[in-house]
Amino acid sequence: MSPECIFVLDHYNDYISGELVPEKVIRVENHLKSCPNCERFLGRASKLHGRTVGLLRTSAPQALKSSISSLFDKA
Amino acid sequence: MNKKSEKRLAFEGEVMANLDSMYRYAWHLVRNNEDAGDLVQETCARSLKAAEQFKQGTNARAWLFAIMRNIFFNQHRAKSRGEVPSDWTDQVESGDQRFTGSVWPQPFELFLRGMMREDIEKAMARLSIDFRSVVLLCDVEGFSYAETAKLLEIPVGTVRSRLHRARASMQSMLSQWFNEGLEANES
Ligand SMILES: [Zn+2]
Repeated sequence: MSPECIFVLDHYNDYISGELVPEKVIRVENHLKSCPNCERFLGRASKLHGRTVGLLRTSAPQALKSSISSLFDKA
Repeated sequence: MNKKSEKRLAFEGEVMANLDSMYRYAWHLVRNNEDAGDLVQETCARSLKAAEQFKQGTNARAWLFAIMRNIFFNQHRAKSRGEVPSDWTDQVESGDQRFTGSVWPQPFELFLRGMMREDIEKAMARLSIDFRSVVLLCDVEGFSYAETAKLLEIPVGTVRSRLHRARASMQSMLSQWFNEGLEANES
């Protein structure tokens, strides 16, 4: 594992969160172009993250929305 | 009936636009539909009283979440004190975020497709509220580390480390359940 692979492993969470400074984003992405292992790793981490977040993004019940609407109408 | 001011209408619009987010945050604080609904209602009623203080153009969602969090901690302080921090989160040392490829369950696509909302909720439920809140705010609601830190009144570095550890914990749980499922199917 090269130092650049370790750099990716140390920063992939912040990369996924969009919290890496641009220089580090470029460093990660440059490495991905030449390292299939890291590319696959980060691809999977991103997919897992996307799926998890997608499944957790639920809506409020309609009944609650209606009752808040009427709370505002009365106030 | 008085005609509502423009400011007031804008405020109501902000609340309605953020109801899904508010309900998700409430649900993750109280973990059941009824109390979550009550907490959202209480937050809306409280925010209405403070509507005059609300400045258009500020982050309405962060403002509403802060109100909700205050209500929750005032009402549930006694209950939440009894909450035991999750074993899972403690087991995952911060060093474990250095995942190797072997950590992902195989076949990965099957793991991903088979994952259900109940699995993720179950994993979330095993995290302590401190860790769960960071996942919800950063990952689900898309707050930045800085916004989350401000809301939870903790340092940005703590947000980062909790988020990394919480993700790692959830990934271990989901992987383990998937592998157990595979073994159960084989036997
Ligand atoms: Zn690499």
